[in-house]
Amino acid sequence: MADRLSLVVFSGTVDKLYPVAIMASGGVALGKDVEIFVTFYGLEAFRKGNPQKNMKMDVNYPEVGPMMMKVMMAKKMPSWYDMLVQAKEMGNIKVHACATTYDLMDMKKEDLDPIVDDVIGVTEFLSRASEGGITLFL
Amino acid sequence: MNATEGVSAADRVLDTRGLLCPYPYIQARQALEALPPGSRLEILTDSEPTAMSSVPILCEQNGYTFTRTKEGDLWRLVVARP
Repeated sequence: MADRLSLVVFSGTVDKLYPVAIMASGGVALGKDVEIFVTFYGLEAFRKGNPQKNMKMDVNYPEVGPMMMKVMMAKKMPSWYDMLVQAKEMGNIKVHACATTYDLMDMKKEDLDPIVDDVIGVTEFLSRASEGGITLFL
Repeated sequence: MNATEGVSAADRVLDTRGLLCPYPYIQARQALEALPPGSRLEILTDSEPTAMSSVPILCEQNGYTFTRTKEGDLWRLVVARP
């Protein structure tokens, strides 16, 4: 079995994108290969320009979200995107755009942030995920 | 979003244009399983991910070989079932 962490990123809010970056960082720190499949709102978060301007937080936690953002800024926590870029420099992380969302939204490769490696179908992602030990949905 | 079929040099043509993932994969798999060994299926798609990911992984999983050509926005994949 491959030593691989697979992440399905459905959410596009910053509070969910942080765990993506943190777990990907932890994964490569452990020497794992990390496969990130970004779909629906998750793919929107990886549309070119969005990582830098997306400030959306989960609306279910209106009392906590702004406070968390303040704390993260006060403690100079890097953005989720910068964390992911750094993690990618540390190890083998692949970011795959979901083919369904990509075609549904009539996207082109140039619409995607450069951190996205390729566009793959769900069957290819699941084939790869089934070879690894951990798959998480965010 | 229905695939249509036709006739070509292959034993069967599957037109998946307009279909979203994973339906091109599903319909291609069904079509290939229905064909006898030694047959060829021509798959038409206007989706780059279908041409570059879904059909190749289907072939890899089943030991099929394929050729891929592109004419404008149309990909033509001819899959051979051994």
